[in-house]
Amino acid sequence: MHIMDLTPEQWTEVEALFHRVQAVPPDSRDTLIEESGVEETVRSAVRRLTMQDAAPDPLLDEGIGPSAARLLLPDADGRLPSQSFGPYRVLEVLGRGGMGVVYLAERADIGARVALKVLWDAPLSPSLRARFEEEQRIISQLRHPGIVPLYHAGQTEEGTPWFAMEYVDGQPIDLHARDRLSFVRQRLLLFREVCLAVRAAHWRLVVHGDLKPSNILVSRDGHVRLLDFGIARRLDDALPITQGRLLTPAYASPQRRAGAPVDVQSDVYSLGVILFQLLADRLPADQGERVSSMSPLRRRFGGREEDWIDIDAIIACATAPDVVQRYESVDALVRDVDRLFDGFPLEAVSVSATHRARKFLRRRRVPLVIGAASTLVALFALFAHDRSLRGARDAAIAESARTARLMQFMERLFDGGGQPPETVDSIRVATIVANGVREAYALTSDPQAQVDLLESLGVVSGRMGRYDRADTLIREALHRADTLYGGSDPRTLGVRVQRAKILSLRKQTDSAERELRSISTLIADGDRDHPVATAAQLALGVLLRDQGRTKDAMPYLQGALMRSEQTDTMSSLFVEVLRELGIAVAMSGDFAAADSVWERALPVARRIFGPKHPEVAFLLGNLGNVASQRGELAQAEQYQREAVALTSAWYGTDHMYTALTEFVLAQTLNRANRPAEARDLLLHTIDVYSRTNELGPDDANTAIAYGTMGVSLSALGDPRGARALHERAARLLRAARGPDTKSALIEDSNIASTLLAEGRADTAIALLRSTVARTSASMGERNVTTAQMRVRLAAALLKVKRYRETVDVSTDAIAIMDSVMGGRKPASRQARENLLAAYVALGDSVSATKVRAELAGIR
Amino acid sequence: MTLHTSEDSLRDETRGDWERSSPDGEGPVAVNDLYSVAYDELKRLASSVRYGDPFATVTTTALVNEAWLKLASSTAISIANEQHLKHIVVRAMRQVLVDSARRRRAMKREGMHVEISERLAMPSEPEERVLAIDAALTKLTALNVRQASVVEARFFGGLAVSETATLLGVSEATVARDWRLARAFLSVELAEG
Repeated sequence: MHIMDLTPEQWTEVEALFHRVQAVPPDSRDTLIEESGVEETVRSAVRRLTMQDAAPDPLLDEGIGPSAARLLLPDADGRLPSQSFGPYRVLEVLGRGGMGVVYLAERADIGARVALKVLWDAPLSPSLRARFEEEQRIISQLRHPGIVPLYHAGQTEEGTPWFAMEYVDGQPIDLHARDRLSFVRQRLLLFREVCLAVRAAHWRLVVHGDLKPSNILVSRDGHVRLLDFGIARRLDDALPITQGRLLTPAYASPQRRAGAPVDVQSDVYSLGVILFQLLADRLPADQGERVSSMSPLRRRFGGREEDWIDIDAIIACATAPDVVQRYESVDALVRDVDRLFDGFPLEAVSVSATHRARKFLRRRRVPLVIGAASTLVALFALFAHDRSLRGARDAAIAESARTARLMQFMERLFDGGGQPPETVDSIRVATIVANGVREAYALTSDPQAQVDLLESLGVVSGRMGRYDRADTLIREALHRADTLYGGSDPRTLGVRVQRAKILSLRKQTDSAERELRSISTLIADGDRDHPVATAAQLALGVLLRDQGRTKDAMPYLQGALMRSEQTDTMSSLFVEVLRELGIAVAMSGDFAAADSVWERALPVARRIFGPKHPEVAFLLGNLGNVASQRGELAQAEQYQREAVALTSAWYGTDHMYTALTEFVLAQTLNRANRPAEARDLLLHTIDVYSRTNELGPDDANTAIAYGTMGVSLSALGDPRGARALHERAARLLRAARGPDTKSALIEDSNIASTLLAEGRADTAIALLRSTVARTSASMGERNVTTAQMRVRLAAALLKVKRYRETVDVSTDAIAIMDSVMGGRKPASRQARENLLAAYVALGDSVSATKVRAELAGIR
Repeated sequence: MTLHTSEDSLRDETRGDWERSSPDGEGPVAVNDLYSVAYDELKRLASSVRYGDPFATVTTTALVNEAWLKLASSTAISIANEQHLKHIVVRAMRQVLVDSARRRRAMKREGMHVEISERLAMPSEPEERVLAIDAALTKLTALNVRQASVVEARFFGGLAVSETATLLGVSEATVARDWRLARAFLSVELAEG
């Protein structure tokens, strides 16, 4: 019977028995209840109550205190205080913050409206009162058009403190931008105003600490007003931060979220988030999201690719999780924002700007320009065609430093010294370039240096993906070189080689090829040994190779090698020729030859760049990659671990080049059947790529990392998760590189493997057949990849016991492999094992024995 | 003479009601009016605390005592028994909490977003539980008024055992026994819904 159905009389009996029961030890209670002689209803109630007596109940036991605050939120009744605050009378509530309530109030005598902030519970908390008064003091000290001014302060007779500020009749900045500003420039101007207001506060040693759109209003005159210094801090003051204030996590730096006090850089972080929001009309979905990759936004606003890349770089630098990489001041942020307006700065060089640039350059240096990006390509060449090739573009940077004058400048600019650079972000390089351009244009007294400088800056700009600017600079350089040296001078031709490289980066491959071919004809007989001849041949070879015309490319690359062997085998150009040639050789499937080419480059690179230089790391990475492809996994892992160690020492752990070397190591681990280790590395790779990749999270390299992680998941027994990753990778690869490139085809075959693992053999086989056909069409029949696709098809057929077809497909695959790779190589083992299994199943013991013998030979 | 002096900050609406029912210098204030004054005073106190710092602890104990002292020190209240006054304040506190819980539940049902500080979070919707306790307490009143009063004073009023004993004019042991039984009763009711 339910307790509620008791009568008061029964309840009296319950009460009596309950108390008797509580007085005896627990183990004798049941007996006591049973022998009590009262009716069952009462006994049952007492049993129930006794049980519940022992059960904890947080609300009943702790009282309502902890919940009362929640229940008593004052919001609902919305009544206003009737009293006056000095000359002001309250009209309505504008907002409630951690530090009191803000009302719209009216000055009784003259009717002026103000925002009135009242600290209601001052009597209850002296520390809150101190903070409130501090806020009042801070605002009164900050006189700036972008900061809301203080009018009046006082307290009521009960001691409730208040102060009156300008009432800003306007909208929060995000809504204002969304509703009223349809040009990027307008939004940037508004953001700049916010920065200036924050900077003004910083100059008075005040950090705001809670920058977010709701604290930044845009008044009817279109200008911003910064509000709410409720948790602002004076940097020269030790007043503790109010603990109670809730952060707005979206705008709070990682340090703030971890509980660190506000500082200048926490304001910088918030500004970076606000800049993103002002452009995208929403908060970033994750750290490192790029506005330049948001196509609807780009369509709506227009603008040049390079400017969007700059905006992203500014946001990335402002919101860098690590304060070392973040702008050290709002001032630095403002200066970069200003460059967005300036476009191409041609005005006189400001002394402080160049000073800063040089100071910066002393800290960050050469290798970033000379080495790394070009070699990035090399690693990917085994997977990639077009994109991997962009690395070659900057190869000539070191070459471009050929005059003493330029060397001097480059030294100033990038101040080498062989120390590992700090992590470089492109906006800082952009700053260097912008300043360099100013210097270049100012160098009219030394036209030769000017040519060299313009050329170098053009090359750097090209490497940064700013092709328009690169083109302008190189044309400038070419024009001057032509006038200065004449059209067939090697120096002029050197500039033209660079121009051709920029053309090829802009996908104007036909023009680039024409240009390079004509350069070769223009080289005077006496200059045949000049490095420019080698550089031109190399560039042409790389251009052809990157178009997939490996056969056409080979004579040029080999020609370049011969030339550089004859001239200088201790030069960066020689290393570069070997690197690029090795890529071409590897792409044609001859891993052994590629291996020997890179082995030759390695000691030279160690000697001229230093043993820990990224150039060395990337050569090791390439060697490891080839070893991995050839199935020499222990050797591969050794090379690749060394490469990871070098890149992470040089660039830091969270750098894309480090991630890249980790990525190839993960591939080896996958091959070595260590998928869990591979997966863990890949998680890091993908994380770093999506945060740091210039090309954004949808880049092909990221896609390949997704696919590789799919392989790990398959091996870990998660075909569903694997398929999702492979499908994503295939989609991204098609978007980035077009249909039926090698990597997209590999992803298709990976999708088929996951289908097979889930028992959907027919779908898998159909997909594999189509993949084989497309691979053969796009890469040729006599190709390792085409053969590997057949091996996968054969494995699928074997699995569903279609042995005849397995034999046919495997035989084709083995024939291709043996012929392309020259003999029975470990890579063909899988194909032979499939074939053997099919013969065994078919009862063809003669053929089976033959294949067994071949396999034994491979082992 | 009225309740509100110059430093009093009761709201206009409240004051109006008060003045209608209690003209200057005339007889004792009706209990119903006193109850509504207590109610408003508690709400004002609660919200003023809450306005300032989201982490300030709002204890019903403090609210009840403050409101009680305020009402008791008012010369207008010629109520003979201070404990009676306290009882009214406790009752009003219960009502304030229950009304707040109802309002919050209603706001939730209307889909309004109520921002809640995480650090104050309690398990399983305190407003629902408070309303459940209120309902169970009404049932307990039908079985034993004194036990219900103990719950009201201790749970809603936040009073200690000794204060509750004084309030109800019983021994502390009785309060303790009543609380134990009533707590078990409420717990059963809450568990069985």
